[in-house]
Amino acid sequence: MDALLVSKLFRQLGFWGFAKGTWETVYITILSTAIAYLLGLPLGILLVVTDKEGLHPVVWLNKIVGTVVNIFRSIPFIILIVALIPVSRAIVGTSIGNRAITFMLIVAAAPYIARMVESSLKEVDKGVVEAARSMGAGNLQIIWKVLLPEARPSLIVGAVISTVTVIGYSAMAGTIAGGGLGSIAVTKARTSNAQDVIWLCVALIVIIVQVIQEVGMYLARRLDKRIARSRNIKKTKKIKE
Amino acid sequence: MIELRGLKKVYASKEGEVVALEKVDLKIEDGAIYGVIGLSGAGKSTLVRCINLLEKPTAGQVIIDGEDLTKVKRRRLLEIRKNIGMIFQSFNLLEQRTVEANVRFPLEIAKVRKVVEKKCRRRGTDGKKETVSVRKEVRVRYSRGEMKRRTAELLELVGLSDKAKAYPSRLSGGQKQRVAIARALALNPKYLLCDEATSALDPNTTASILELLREINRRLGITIVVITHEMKVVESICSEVAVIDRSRIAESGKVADVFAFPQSEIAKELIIPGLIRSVKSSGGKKLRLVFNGEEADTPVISGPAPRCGISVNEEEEKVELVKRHLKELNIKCKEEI
Repeated sequence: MDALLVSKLFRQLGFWGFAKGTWETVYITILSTAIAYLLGLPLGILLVVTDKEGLHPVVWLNKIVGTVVNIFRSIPFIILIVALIPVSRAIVGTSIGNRAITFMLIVAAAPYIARMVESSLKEVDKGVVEAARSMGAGNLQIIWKVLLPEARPSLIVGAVISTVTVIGYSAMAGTIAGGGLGSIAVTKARTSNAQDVIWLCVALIVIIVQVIQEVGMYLARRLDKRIARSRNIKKTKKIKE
Repeated sequence: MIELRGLKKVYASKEGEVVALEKVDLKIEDGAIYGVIGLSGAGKSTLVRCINLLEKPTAGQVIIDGEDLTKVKRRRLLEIRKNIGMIFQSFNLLEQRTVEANVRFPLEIAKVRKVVEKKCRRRGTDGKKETVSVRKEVRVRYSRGEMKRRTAELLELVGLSDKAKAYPSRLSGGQKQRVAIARALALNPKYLLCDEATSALDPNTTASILELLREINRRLGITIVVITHEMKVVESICSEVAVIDRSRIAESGKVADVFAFPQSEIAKELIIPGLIRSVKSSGGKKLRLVFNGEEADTPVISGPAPRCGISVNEEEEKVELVKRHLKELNIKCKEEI
């Protein structure tokens, strides 16, 4: 009975096998998104600032950075992984394992995040930037005190979308370099045709995505002062009741 | 004093060059409330942005207190801008900051000059080491306490002390503009530029904001430049006015003079548009009465009326109307008319 319902691989992996896969997916995703963000954020700021309508237009630099970002963004990730194998070996010393996956994810996610940041910062009202300029604020002050804080809710939403994308990428990277739920589902389960393992991996990934999505959106809403009004009205209503 | 000399601004667009300002010469004396009026697209917004160099003029000079802003280094320009507050039609508050934090913003980015006494040891003339205090001017950030005090002071000035912790999204238009005014005044500027500051507000709110601007001008002695397309704004607070039309200054001068004897077509159109439209032509002559304070006591109609061939009896009804209107304005109207 038991053997019919539950595959051999499923039992072989056991609770700790899935727990390890989940943990690897989570930490690879968060680590690589975080590092990619550290690279993508300044790149995004650079794209906005050097834009021809930006704070400090430098058209040639904007073109170069924009083109590089576009090139990386247009390479399908699965091809990028293969192309990055020797690069990964040269830079992080290996082309397999979690370290290699993290490296590849950073390379793929940073340009993506740069564009996300760029679009968030461009949403900031031009009038507010103009007001800051009229007060004698320098460009760095405008970036730190106007652009980034004013774009905060949008930046958080962008970060959440990026993280979810990286989860998807991490599963793909798992097929080549091993590690995480992706590699369990694709390499181990597919070869032994363990449908239950595949579906459990899918379920776990869905749960991870849901958690990140919900937490992120809650933070974005919570930190957005523009809609403070409606929230406060709700609160006072509750108190009245 | 703000002086614009031969100011020209040309924008490059896809359809070619667009001239926004041409040959603009303007002198704004200290302590004035100077109005710049014109139809939309006349170039008035560009004009005000040229004063603090938010727009770089294509040619000409912007001289503020003897310093040509088009020639100064960027760092100096940022300093000068701190002496020129600016408010906008769309308020432009930082949405993610509280009212208090918005007003604090200019204080956060500025530095204050402070003279500090520093003790330092050095070798004196007799070869012995001695401690001398040296006075030194340093530029430091505002302290938290100073910021707090100044912010409270400013909110008090604009009457919004109770909204300090609120976010802009919870304020009405008029309140937002008050916050913007407080913010613009944070660094004790000598000048305040208002770019269509009341255009997004209803008439009552407009009146209260104008009253506030007048008070600021009187109490703090701040020179105010008001950009508007509304006659009533110029009428109610400005001492001088420049009428701008199709990128050029059509005429300028004391508000009373320009209003009484508008010379240019555009000024006539802006000042007496209602009259031209509302008076139904009955074939006779039309009179436009302008009162500028001193002349309000003299009987204006009874004098020229017979000469113009207006029989008072025939026109009694109309004169009655004029009288009632004048009474509303609290201007004496002689009974014998």
